[in-house]
Amino acid sequence: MSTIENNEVDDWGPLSGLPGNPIMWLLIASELIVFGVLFIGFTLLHLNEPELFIQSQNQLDRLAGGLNTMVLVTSGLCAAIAVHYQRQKNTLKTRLWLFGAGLIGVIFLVIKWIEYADKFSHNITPDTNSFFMWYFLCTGFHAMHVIFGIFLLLIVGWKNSDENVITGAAFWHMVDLIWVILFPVIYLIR
Amino acid sequence: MQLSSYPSIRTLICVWLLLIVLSAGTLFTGGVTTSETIGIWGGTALFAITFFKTKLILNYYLDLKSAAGNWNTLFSSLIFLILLILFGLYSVSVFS
Repeated sequence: MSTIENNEVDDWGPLSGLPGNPIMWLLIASELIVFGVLFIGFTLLHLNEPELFIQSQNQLDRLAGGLNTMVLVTSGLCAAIAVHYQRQKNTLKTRLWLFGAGLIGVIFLVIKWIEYADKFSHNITPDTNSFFMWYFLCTGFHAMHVIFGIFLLLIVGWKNSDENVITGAAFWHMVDLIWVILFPVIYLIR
Repeated sequence: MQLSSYPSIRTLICVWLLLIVLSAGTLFTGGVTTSETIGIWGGTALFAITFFKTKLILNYYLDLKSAAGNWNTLFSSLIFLILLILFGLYSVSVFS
């Protein structure tokens, strides 16, 4: 059986040229725009209150954020390797690598929770000031995507058609892509 | 759905290593252990590294380099535009 069997089933016009389900690519584009607007809003507020933003940003754990970047790109590698094995119709290895990607995603959430717990222990909440409101909004919204992505990886590992695995992995890489932009914008730029 | 030429494991690992090195570069450029501002050149380097990292994820993890048509250019341009606006706003904050 050809590995491009689904080409004959779904004709999405120009969108058929994209890897995986084209609907996922529409989601990726829309998520990039939504997060892009959030980051632009955050940076505009930074312009309005530079002192407050820099003082507040210096209270973030930049090392934890950097560590989480490495955790997420490593998880992305696992998801990409799962797609590689899916092409070879190796179900066991596909599932193992998807599970590994999800497990590393959990490590990301644990580090994120430690960061949040530290903030809460210092009475820093979304109500503290506008910087922390945007910090919790952007990172919390991203963390929700990570939680959803982990479930999605488990589901596509179970129902592992070519399209499901590629689409689930694409969502996971989108989560990765957004964090790669989020980290310097929220944690580092000053 | 296209599934014709996905990168080899060796290529994916090389991309991952590059992403890890670039992430370390992001930490270094972003002055992770200091509270001083990073300045316009630090900011320029940070945005350049970020764009390069997103290109690696798009091209290899998401396999957009093998996509038919101009999808790679389209998605890269979208990210470039977002980063350009953010860099422009950052530049204003540095020089104001």
